[in-house]
Amino acid sequence: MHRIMRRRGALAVATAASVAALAACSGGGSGEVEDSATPAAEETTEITVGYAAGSLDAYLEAMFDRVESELGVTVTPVVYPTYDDQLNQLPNQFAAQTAPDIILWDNAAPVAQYATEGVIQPIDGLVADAGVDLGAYPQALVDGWTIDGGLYAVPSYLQNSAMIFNLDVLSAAGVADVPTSVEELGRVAQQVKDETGNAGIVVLENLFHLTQYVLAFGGGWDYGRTIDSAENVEALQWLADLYGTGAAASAQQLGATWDGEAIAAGTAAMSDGGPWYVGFMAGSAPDVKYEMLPIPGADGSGVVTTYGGGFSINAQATDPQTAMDVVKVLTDATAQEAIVSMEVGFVPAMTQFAADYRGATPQYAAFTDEVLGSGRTLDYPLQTAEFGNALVSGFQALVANPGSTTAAELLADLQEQFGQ
Amino acid sequence: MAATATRVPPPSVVRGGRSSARRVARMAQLLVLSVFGLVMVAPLAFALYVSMLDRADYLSLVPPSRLTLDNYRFVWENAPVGRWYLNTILVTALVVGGAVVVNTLAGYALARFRFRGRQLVFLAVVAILMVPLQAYLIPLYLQVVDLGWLNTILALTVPFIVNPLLIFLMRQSFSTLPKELDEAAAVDGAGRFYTFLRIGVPLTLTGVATQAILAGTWTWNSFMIPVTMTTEPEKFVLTVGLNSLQAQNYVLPTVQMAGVVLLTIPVVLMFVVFQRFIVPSLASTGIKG
Amino acid sequence: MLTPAIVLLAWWFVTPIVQSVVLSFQQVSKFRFDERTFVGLQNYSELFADDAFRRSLGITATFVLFVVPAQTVLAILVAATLQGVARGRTLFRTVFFVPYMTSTVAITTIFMQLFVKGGPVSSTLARFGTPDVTWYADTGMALIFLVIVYVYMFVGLYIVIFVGGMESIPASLYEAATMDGAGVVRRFWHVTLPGLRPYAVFVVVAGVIQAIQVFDQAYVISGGTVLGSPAGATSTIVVFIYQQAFRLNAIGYGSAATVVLLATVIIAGVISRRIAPKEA
Repeated sequence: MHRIMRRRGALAVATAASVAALAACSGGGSGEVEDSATPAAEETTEITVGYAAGSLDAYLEAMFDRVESELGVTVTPVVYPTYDDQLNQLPNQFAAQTAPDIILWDNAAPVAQYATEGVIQPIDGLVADAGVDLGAYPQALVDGWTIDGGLYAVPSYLQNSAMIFNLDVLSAAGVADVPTSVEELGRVAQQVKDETGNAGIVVLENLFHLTQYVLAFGGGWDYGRTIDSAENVEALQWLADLYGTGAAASAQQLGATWDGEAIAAGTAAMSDGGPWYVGFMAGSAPDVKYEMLPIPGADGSGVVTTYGGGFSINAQATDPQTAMDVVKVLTDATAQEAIVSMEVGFVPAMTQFAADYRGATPQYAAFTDEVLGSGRTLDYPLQTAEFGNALVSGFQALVANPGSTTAAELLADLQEQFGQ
Repeated sequence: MAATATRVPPPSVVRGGRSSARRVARMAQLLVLSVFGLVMVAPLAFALYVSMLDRADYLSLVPPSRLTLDNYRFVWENAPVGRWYLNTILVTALVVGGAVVVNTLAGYALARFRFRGRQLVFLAVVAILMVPLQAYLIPLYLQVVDLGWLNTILALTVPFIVNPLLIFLMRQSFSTLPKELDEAAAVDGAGRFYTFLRIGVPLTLTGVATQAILAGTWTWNSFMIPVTMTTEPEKFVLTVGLNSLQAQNYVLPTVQMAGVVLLTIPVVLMFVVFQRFIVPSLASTGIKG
Repeated sequence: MLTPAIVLLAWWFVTPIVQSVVLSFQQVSKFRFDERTFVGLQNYSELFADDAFRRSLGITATFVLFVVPAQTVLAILVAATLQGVARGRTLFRTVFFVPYMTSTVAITTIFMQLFVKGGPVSSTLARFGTPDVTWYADTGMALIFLVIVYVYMFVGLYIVIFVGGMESIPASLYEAATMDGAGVVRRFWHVTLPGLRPYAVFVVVAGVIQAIQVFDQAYVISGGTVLGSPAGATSTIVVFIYQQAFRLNAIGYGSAATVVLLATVIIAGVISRRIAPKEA
């Protein structure tokens, strides 16, 4: 509200100053400039869109141009250098009322606290009025953006978890078939360690990645209701035991800043990952043979988490209606198609266009509409950041001093702190 | 000023002599320094090497023929690097210029003048030093927003001109100067400011140059402030801009190191320039003395 | 002459810091800072009951105890070695200063490659009995890793300061000592060291202050995983504060930690002032 006013005020001052400068330079012959510049600054509606810089830059700029030509709305980007910076900056910006009108999130995990604190708004009504068809998206994706019964974002792109297998390392270890259950996963990891000396599984130790193993064992957090479930305990203990023999290792231990570097370098055979591996492997390790499949589950079936990026609307936005119009353009069929045609490296959120991506990307073949549609959502406890810190630190302590504590103790403790 | 002549005579110059034992000692001295120097410069050499590797060659040893400038080309073509350079140079120049004036004055005052509360001011300066930026960045951000300085160069410069550590440095520098010099000037009828400018500053050029180098290095490499205060890519400084060149879900180490090289070269050059002021040339000092 | 500095300090340092102090007695809404309630000493009592906080104080103290003596002694020795070298002096000094001017991210990343399990430095040292692990990912070695990276980055700064200090020692003192038959070591001990006194005070005080605030290196080695990894072994006090203020949005709580840090350091400073021979 007053933020936009202030910005416009600044713009007017800037315009006046530049006009004055022009006038001074050209000796007063710039009456035309003055006339045309001033009204223009007042007429255009301006909307700010916040996002983290990265592979989406060119795509988003193209979409902002569409917004301008189709709606006559000027989009001012608010760019965070990385997604981490976005998460660090947004709370200050909300507090100072400088947060952007529209926010692109990479996933729904951090959004719950923004929604419950009421700083981003539920958009069910706006979405219905704008005629956005939520049936066009995999159900898991819509569920992921639904918090306490309200929808908080329109999906833009889709991410899913997967297991990545470096086939070169596996065959060097004498493994012919990739594992299809968690038991096999553990056995193969050990075999890789014994035969090649490399880690079987590499883990980037954060909430998302540890969660994938919990889900593989049939567990989950259920927003804090089942933190200490038997499946969760089993999963973490299993993983910690693999660390004990060297069959599993953290990305850091392997000298990698994230798991993909270890897979590309062949210092580990398997990792949980996702579609972002496709672009990375093509660029960094074009000769490495790898496969991407659903994560082997406890009962032999594949487990996948379906989540992804979406646009939310700031509760302080002056003009939610216009913001919604902009979001609609940013997520419509043309925008979805462009994700594939501009080779952004992301999977479009709409089922129809995800199929186009699959057609163009052989490595992604296993992730059919059915697999993605029935994928799990991220069901972290509400205090997501606190829980993630405690879980990861606790897990690292478990790995460092196997005798001193157990996964059961850790999760019981976390249940008490973060459970509901 | 005759006083300069009493400074900087490296002991060996004073002593002369050329026995073989001394020559061995000299060789050992150079050897130690060279080894240490190599170790110190190795990381930048490593960064330079990695920045010229193909993505697929990361961390492997390749012959010079395989080295490439593709990473630099990537950075240059995908980002307004020139713009970021300009922003960074401007911000750094303004902070250094302001810092040299403000902190030098304050350091001199603390070192020379007896006034009520002098000790208190000094303690306050030291206490402020203890507070990490991370601890008050949020209130600072709100102040900047209130002034409407977000996304302006003011937010990146004005708050950082004064620096407690640099005041402390200048105070230490001035306190090594003999007070008699000031008193002599005062007897000659010179005012306080004149004494400071004509006697204090020339004798503490080392301190002033050190200050310029420190303020310059900090500002040039600072990340947390500009990332908080700027959100428009054309307003970014180098550190923030280069950090935005990562891919969405992963880091490209080769590109990252190209960024490191682009970031570091200018500061090294800046150091080389200011270094001249640190070393009053040998000709004018030691040899005659 | 003090006016510009005082005005700027008051507005850009004192005001936000005082605000932090006020915040430390308040419970602040995560996204609306105007929604605050005064909670008295509640943040403080929670803080003192918080194992993570107490641990971070201990980690920081250990870090400072290793870093400050190491970098000060090393810097004096290198500067003294450089004394007397006429040709190449400028080059050496530039080279020594390069790490300090290079970004922390770069230096830390490079050291991580050197200290990874099987890496060049870690495997060499393993022959002398250090565990063959990835140092920064090992709960026992991670802090030592931080000390090494930190000293490496900062020693060049202090070398330059000491070199500057040595230039300010009057030549006549060396001449007199030489006439008295003093050798290299005695001249270092009786002329150089006393002459460096004000500089040494600066280096130690600034060194302590800066080492307490170590953050960037710990931040880099925790990339992709939680801050303070592994298992909180690198959770220094500023990491703790940053975590509370930026990652968990617990601004009141983080501010309380800042106030405790400040109080601790000021008390330590006052005590050392009492004990130390008067200087400054």
